[in-house]
Amino acid sequence: MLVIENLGKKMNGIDLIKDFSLTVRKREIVSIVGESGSGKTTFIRLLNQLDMPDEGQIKLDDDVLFTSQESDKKVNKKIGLVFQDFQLFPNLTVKENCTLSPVLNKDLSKKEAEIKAEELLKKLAIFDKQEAYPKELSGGQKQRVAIARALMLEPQILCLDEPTSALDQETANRFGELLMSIIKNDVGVIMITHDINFAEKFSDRIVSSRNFLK
Amino acid sequence: MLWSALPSIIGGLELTLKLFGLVLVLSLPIGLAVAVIKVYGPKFLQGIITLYIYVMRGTPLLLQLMFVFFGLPYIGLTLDRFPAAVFAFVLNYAAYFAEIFRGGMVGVPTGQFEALKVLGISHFKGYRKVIFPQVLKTTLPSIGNEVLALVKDTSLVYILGLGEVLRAGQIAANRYASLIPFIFVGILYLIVTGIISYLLNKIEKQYQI
Repeated sequence: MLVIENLGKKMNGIDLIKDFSLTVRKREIVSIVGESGSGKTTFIRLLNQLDMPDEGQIKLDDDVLFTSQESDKKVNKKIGLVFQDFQLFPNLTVKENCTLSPVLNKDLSKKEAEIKAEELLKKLAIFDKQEAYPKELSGGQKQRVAIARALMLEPQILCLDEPTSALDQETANRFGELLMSIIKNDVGVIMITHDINFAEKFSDRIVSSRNFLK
Repeated sequence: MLWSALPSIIGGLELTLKLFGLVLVLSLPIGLAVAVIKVYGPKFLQGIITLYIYVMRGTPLLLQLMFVFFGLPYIGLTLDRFPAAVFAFVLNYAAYFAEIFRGGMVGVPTGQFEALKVLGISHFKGYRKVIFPQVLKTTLPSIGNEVLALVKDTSLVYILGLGEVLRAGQIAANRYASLIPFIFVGILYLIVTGIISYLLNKIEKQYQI
């Protein structure tokens, strides 16, 4: 269970997020909706320590992952992020994109990482592209690779930044179903979107970004 | 009769290639290190490097050669002709390579660094496996240009009295009162640059993912 307590972040001296608290349980999909510039992406960046909060703390179950003062490097493995533009590594194949982190960090042997990557890629229906390079993939395929790459680290929370922005209606629906199957492995999902229909259809809870400042 | 000039020209080619190889092997890694410091290093080092690159790119290589060989002895640093030539060339080419690498580095999208961070991959490992291969890919064509320029620039060491290929050709041309030795020399340069271009193309293809 992810517990965000009293999170605060100023941008250029103005409060973007203030005293914001949110809890995300395992097997839960929470969507954050709101207009551009309302702090949605900043919020996701704070969760992933790409920006540091000015106030508040973030806990996973009872462990404090980080506060505005201190951070724990392990956050990277507990909270996963799929970027809006995926940020796959263009010089590596699909499979290498997935195995890079666990192998470099010696969490898994190369063989183990490959087996795990293959399983995930099969599950995400992109196994046949495992030797392809990112530029040979479509938007939806890239997204699935990015998800596989994030899931390799077995995060407890998976963050998705505008996951449907590059998908057509049908692919978005398939993607929603995929999310539903991912959370079955005790993963919680936080997704930022302005696709309200998608959010309503696939999330357990919808939080408006207006609450960032409430 | 003219054929007898060939051995001395080939001898000059040997010096040209030796200089070329040494300079390339030394200036590429130094240029990379300089670029890394310029992009990620502390402010005062960045300043020094900016000045260094400005001087190297802002003055003729010929002048730098003369300065190293004739000028440095005044501050007690006397180098033989060949080491002086290598030193001056490495200083100059490292500056150009550094600028090329720097351009490649700042061209890698911030998102790539963030993706590495989110995946818990350290700077060093991430650089080696993900960032640097991308830098190499985008900079290879410019590096190739510099490498070819280096082959031809080696002819400047004639100013230090080193017998590289063009100087050998010049001596032969004077001796036989003929332009033919220059043609030999031109052909030799073309053969060398042809081989290097071919190799560069192969390397570029390898990185063209």
